[in-house]
Amino acid sequence: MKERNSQEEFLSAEDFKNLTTEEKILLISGGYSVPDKLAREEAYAELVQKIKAGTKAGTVSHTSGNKYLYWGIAAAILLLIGLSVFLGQKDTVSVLACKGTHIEYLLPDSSRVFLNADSEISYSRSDFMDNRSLQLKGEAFFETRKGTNFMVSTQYGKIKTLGTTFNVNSRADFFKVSCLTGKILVQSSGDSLIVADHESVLLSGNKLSKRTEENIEKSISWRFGEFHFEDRPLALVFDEIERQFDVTVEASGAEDRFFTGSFYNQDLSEALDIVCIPMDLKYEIRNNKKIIISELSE
Amino acid sequence: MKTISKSRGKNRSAGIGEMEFEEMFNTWYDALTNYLYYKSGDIDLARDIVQETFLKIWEIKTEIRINTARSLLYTIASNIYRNKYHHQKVIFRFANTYTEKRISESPEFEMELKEFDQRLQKALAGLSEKNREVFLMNRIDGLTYNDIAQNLGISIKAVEKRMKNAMSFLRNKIDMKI
Repeated sequence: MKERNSQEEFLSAEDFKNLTTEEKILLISGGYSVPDKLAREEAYAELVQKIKAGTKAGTVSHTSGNKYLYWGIAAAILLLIGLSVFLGQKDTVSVLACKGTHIEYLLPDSSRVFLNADSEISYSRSDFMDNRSLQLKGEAFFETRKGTNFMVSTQYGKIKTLGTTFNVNSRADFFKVSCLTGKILVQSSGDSLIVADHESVLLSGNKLSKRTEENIEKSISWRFGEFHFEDRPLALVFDEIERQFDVTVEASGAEDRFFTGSFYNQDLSEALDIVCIPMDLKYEIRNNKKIIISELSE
Repeated sequence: MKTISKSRGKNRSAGIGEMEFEEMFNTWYDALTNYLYYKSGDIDLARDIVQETFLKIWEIKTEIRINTARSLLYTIASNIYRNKYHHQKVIFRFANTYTEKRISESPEFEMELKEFDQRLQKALAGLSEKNREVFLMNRIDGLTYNDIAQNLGISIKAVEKRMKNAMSFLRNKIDMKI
């Protein structure tokens, strides 16, 4: 905390008149202090009272084994469906990243796709060079090579580009596209928006809303094991925990809440702490696989 | 209060003790209370939320590490505010050394300062919460951009941007351009 210099308190009318609005703002706001604050010692005494009285019933209880899920890049699972040599018939390639796995995949045109856990892309192998189009379920980051139209189709909308980098997150009840470089076109629910670098679109209700992101890299921090949430419905945060750690989360009545914060996918308990503690929830890990979430007061 | 000890990863040193808890309180009480006041404009609410936050920390003190405690404090506090308390209109009543303690030079100047102060406090209440809290953490608490970035878990660039946005909003509001 800064020390206030008594010299600063003297201010002449002349000096003040000569300041720009901005300088006035900086000066006057610098002289503010928060009113009626309880002294620290008193506040601490109050806290100690509460602790002794055990006013906050309930504990954060953990029951867990010793094993932690390891993070690693697993091999891609390629499923070739319907190989065919007949004209007119397509051969579909599907690339699936399981729960607890991230995958990097090279498309036939050398574009790169980075799949988040529990995500899948599929495309036509014979058609792709002529028509760069693929389907996505889940979340992926695309580094597309410049060229002809490149299109990503998801359940909520389509993304079109000529060669840029962007992140698509299409899950149940959630659709967000972030553009890192270049420009992309996002079409959803009849809306069509051009999204440029450092911008993102989010589908809320039936409308796409665009905004500028201060820190666009946050939208792909998942690739480095960091998951950031801003006002995200808690159920969706638990969904992501399920995906990243390959566990199931049972959270009854934890809805209607919104979480802002970050977790890392290195340590399940730490991630659960970070989400549950601020939300007044406790968790129980059974057999390393199942997480039961309940209210702290239960 | 039941705590079940568990083994954690290799590099973890288990929990914080009572001394460290008290030290944490002494270190962060002011900053955290101010932070919540900047968000809500309600000093009583700020005090309650800080208490709740530290109570939570106490409950899990054997599980957390002292260096993660800092961002955990801010995360817990802001989530409590966001989820549990309705957003009433924010009205500030900052104490202002320039209008309270000064030797009056002239009644006109005093008036001018009071008026500026009122407009500024009103404009601050009109700022978006994100921009406002960063601006006040810098101006009133004197925190560096780096400190603010660490407390809130955002980048320094994000802090710069919020400061810039806050400044231009305040300037326009005071010059009555918006």
